[in-house]
Amino acid sequence: MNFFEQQERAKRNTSKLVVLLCLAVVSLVAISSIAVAAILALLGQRDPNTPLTAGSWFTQMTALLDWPLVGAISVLVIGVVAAGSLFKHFQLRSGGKAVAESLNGRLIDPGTTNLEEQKILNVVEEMAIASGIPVPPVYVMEDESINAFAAGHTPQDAVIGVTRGCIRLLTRDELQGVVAHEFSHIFHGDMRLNTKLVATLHGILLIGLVGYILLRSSPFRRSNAKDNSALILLAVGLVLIVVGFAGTFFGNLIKSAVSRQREFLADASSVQFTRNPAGIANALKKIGSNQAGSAVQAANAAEYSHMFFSRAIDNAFATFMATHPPLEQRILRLQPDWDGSFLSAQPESAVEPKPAPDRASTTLGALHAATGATLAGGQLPANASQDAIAAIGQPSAKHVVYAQQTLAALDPELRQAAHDIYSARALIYGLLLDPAEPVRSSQLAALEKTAEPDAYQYVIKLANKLAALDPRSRLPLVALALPSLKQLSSTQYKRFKQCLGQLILADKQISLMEWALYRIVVHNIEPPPLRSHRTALGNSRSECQVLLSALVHAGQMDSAQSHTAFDAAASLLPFQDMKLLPRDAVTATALEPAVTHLSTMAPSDKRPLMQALARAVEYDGFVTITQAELLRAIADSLNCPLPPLLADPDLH
Amino acid sequence: MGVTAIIVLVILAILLIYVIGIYNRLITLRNRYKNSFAQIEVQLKRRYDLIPNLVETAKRYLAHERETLVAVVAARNAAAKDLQAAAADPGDAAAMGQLAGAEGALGSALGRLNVVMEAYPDLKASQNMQQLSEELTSTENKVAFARQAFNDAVMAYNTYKQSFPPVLVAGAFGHAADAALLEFADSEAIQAAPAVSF
Repeated sequence: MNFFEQQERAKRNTSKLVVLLCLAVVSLVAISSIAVAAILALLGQRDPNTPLTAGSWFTQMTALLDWPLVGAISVLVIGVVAAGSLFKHFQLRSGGKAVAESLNGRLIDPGTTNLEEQKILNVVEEMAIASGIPVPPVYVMEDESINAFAAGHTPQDAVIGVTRGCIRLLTRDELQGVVAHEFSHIFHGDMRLNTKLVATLHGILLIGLVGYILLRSSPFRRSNAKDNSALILLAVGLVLIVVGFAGTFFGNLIKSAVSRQREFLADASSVQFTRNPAGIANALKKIGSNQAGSAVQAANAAEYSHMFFSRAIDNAFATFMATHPPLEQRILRLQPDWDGSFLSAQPESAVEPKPAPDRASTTLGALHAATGATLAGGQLPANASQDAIAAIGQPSAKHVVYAQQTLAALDPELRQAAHDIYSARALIYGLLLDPAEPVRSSQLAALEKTAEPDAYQYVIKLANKLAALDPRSRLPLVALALPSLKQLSSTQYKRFKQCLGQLILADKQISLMEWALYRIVVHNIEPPPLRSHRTALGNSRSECQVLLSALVHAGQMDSAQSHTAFDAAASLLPFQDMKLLPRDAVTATALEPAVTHLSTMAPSDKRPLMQALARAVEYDGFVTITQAELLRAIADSLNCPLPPLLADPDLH
Repeated sequence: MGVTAIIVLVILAILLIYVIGIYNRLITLRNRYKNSFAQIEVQLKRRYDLIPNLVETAKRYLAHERETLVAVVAARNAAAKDLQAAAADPGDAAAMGQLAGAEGALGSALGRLNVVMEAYPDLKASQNMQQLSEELTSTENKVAFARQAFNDAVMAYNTYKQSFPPVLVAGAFGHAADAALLEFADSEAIQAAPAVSF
């Protein structure tokens, strides 16, 4: 199943679940309203002199049931649930960061000198570059257990969290398995599902909470109630508590059942990404033998229990309330011949080994040969982009090896600059510098005026290294710098963006390359805008036309070739009258609204579009760097994690 | 009475949710500025680690300027201690003031050392010294940058806390005092980084 079908299915399942939960809420409302109304009717109207019998009780109740009252109570309960869910929804809208912070996570500084922390950062960076998403910030929870989580709505605001025990006790291969598992949650749209579930459950939980508050505030305990009002308040409170907690219980049942299935899927995907079942299986075995297991101490862990790598909460109703399948079952699915023994967890040396030579050497050799032969001119062979489209959300072991290789080949000074909040800005400025005079001088002059003086100094320092940079490493470098850039304060970011604008406009025009870089940086740092509508591919003809034209013009084709390439790509889209726009009509002012418009499409619509874009890129047998960066910027805006274009990817 | 009671309850519930929202926002903002202090800490620590090297290198040339060197080391140690206290509770006015004071003292001690070194061209020309001064300058710039981010986060927290309606409940939630900015007395000077400009 490909990425788009996965996403589509995740979305369908999410809507189905939310509908189910809403039904549950409605029935809760009905039950509680009738119960409360019945109590009120009973207490308010009953003649104290007539003795109460079961039969008369029921007739009295139905006769006296005050339907406007039932309505009012329904409104109350629905209001509480809706308000609670909305509130949680908005809290979680701020992305994975909010989840990590509420779990007492501490952000790992990208420039950390702690070897353990460097190890996990390297593993996460490799996996991010292999799968083509921006490097997510990594949070660490000071906990001796072995566990991890991924949170956030989209790859842009995703974060990875790990416990201290996880990075201390696991080897590099095991960490890679765990991180790949978490990435799979990101790609399968599990995070959206998770947040919706958490939000709805929070609403139901709130019913119980309101009931509890009513109970506490009831004057019953203080005064000898003259009328029944105290008693009524007490009764309403009790009913709300029962309903709220019963609702939470069943909601949790649903949540757990869904979560268990997602965990198996993520385990399987982890093996697919790393081609190494031993990594993740050994991590699970270490959890089995670890004293603290995978239990997480943070107070909010229960709420997010289904987001973790392994069971975070010990539960009395172990089997049907468990958010994760039993360890043994998970290990057996990964290694059917497992003998049932766990691995003892010893602190691992944090020293980074060279990328595993035994597994990687053969593919590395092939990769070298292939890339060396065809990429001499900074170009990629045909079908590279089509293959990458097929690998969206499903990076293979070869992509991981490629990422390791790219990172290892990167100039250490540039890599360090990307990790430093301070010089990451200068790195992006430097990437925008035009190699040719006089534009370069005017860019530098503008920078000297607008940027902080020290940032300018850094640009000068890095300029030579950046000029010597392999153009294929530009995107990985930007991806590395993103976690640092995300930490800029609002005033610092404002200034950064201002500088970007001046650098880009120094030559009075925006090249496609400049737009792609700007788009990737800004789209990944700024919070996503609120979206109310959904776009269908069917009524996005002009937008698709702009994107296809841009990609065709980014190549090196002559006019006739360009037209055939465009027509070949356009034939994949359900439009009749697509025309290649002239080169000067494809500007940033046309591209920007086009991608914004298309980003709200359903995943099933994104697939044909991405395929058409890939066809446009590779039609002439070469993929230029501008085309690759443009394709990546568009895929990024559409939230499709596009792996790096490889000469010889290993496809499934 | 039923309907009135219900309306009151609805309003109560909405109010409750709103107040919970304020509470959570306060916590988030506080965590944010505390976390951004970590950046300052990293850079200041790096600076304090560089200073002993600087003194060690200078010692060989400045046999007759012991006092100046001792003063630098003392100021450095005092600042390192205040940093530890400040990191334990970022935003606390007393701790921030102490740290700022200690940093000021360290800055002027380094300034005096700088003046002394003017008289020793050999020292100034030594490669080790040049490299150290370059690193020191760059950490000073980084401190200024991290301090700006910290102060922005503190301002965001204070502004939210003092706005209406959060101001009504902030005190009750344990957010009575404003968080303090970290302002160095010679912050302008640090941004221009004169301490070791050779």
